[in-house]
Amino acid sequence: MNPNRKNILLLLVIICSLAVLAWWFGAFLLRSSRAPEDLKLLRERVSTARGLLEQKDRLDQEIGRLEETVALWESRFYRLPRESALAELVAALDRLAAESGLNVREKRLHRRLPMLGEWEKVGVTINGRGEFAGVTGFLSSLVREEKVILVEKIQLAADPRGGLLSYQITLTTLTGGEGMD
Amino acid sequence: MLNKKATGLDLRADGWTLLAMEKRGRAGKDGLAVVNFLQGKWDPGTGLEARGEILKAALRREKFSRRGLVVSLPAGLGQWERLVLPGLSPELVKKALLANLAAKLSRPPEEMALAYKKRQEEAGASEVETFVCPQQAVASYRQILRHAGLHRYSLLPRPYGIANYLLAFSEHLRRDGQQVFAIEISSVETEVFLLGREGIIHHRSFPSPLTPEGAYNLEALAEELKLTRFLLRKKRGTGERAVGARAPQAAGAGAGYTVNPVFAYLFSPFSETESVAVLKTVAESLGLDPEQVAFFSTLRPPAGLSASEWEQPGVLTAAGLALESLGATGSGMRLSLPGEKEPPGRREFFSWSLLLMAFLLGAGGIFFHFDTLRKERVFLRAWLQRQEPELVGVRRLLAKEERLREKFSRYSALEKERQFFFTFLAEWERVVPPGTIITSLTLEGNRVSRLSGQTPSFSLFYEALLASPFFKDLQVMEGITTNPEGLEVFHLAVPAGVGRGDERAK
Repeated sequence: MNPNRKNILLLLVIICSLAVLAWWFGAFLLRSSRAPEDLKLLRERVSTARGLLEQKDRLDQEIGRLEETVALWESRFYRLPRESALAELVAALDRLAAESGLNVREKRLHRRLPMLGEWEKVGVTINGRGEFAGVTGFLSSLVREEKVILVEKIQLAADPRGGLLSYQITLTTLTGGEGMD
Repeated sequence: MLNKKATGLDLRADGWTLLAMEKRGRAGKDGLAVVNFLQGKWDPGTGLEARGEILKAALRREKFSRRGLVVSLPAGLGQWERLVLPGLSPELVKKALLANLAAKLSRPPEEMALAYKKRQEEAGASEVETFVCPQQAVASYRQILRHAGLHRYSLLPRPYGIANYLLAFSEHLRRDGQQVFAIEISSVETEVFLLGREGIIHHRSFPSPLTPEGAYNLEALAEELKLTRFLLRKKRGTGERAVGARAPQAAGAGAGYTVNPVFAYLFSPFSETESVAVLKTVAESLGLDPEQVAFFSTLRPPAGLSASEWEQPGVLTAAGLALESLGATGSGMRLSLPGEKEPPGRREFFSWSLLLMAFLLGAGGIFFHFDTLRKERVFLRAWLQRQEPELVGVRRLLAKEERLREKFSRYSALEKERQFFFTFLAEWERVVPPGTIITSLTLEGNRVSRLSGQTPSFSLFYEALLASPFFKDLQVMEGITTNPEGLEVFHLAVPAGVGRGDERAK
């Protein structure tokens, strides 16, 4: 065989060998970029799934804590039909107003207010006249009340002729659960 | 280490000899052993096809290895020459040889088959040993081999089979500058050649001379041998002159060598008594003492052959042919025919092996790469399938957590709204200047939507109010008036569309 051809053949062999070695070892180094698209997606899915599984313990703990807090809150909502809850609210307000020395002139009932999640909202707007201390006492007693009573709106106006305040306060509460219609 | 095997096939007019030899490890010639041996005869009238069939049957019966098969070609078919040529590239040597021999050849160069080897190279000149024979003569041998089912083999001029063995085992060829004669007599042909460590120095082949009674003519042999001595002396002289003149085209046996035959090896097919006479004739004719001549059979046989087998015609030649592939004494004088592919050299074989290895490595790499990807895909799918029930559970937990968080944030906002009145009062106490009185206040949810009152200095009051993020959204809605007590009366409100104060305060 022609020596030049032999040299070319040998060179070709060396180039081929180097190319193969580069391809083979390069494949390990650039493994992620050489993988087909479907395999990349599969790897991503597995990675996401692993991440989810690792969260399981944390989720259990967090859900336990949240459930406890939420249950505590919801235990303070009424579990009565709407009308009964409204009656209970009115009774509670009467009691608290009497305790605070607040004179209630008018009570307007709100039977259908926008729901809060799965909870029905009912409310009462009271108005009248009283001392500032009476109003603040009434409002602070609302905070201490066993059931949740929310202050939606407060309108206060000083009466220039005397030391009393005119007030109009809208109060609501939430009801729902087993006791609902 | 793998043992290397080769087979020598000596084809003669009267028969054939097949001998397979194995080289064990790196023991050199001591590691050589005959592993298979078979010989046979055929009549001169046996056809080529029949000869091929005989060989085929023998090869099949004895399960001879066909690897490294070297076949002898009778020297009488062609012409042996030793030429001095100018230093040429390998491609040109062949052309130069044929051009030099053209005048001596019976046929045109393109009809000749050629074997050659550059023996000695000096500056500007190289000595080339060559054997040419008509392709037509080779064709009949190739036909025999084709009928025998042999397709891959090397053809080696027969004297080189003998030379290979002598070079490997003759004590007299250990030193440079010493040569031995080899004389092989058969019923058809007599060969005489002078062999040195540098190769065959002179070669003659002639039909065996016969007496009128049909017996071998010893007197004629003596004359031929004397003629050989004469030719050697003559050519030595020519060679010495040629070497002295550095004539590139000078041709001649023994050019540059001292002709110093120290021994003669002889093979004769005759009975013991006749052979002794032949031996005596050879010694006298070549100017050697009788003890300087011995039969081929006195040489050490390779392991695996009995003494009687060793004395058979063609055995030494067949062993030498096998050594062409196995031993370090290979002559490299393989016959090449025009247009015939040369047997691959070691370098070419190495190159192809490397290429094959690279290809296999590449193919293997591709296979393993895709196989690894496939396995990974299968594993990941199976893993996902296995984990699916647990994943569904975790996804449910996540959804539940989100619902609970929404509730939590909603209830937290409610709590803030409940406390807003008191938060307002605390902030009012902190921010506004003393002496400010609220006359009207509207709180909606967790923001101050309207605020009216009286203050000693509205500018101070308003500045303080704006500094608090709690009241930041409030704007003056009407004119500021001063009442009879000298206090400034103000009315503030949140314009429509403005966000809640405490959210901004966060």
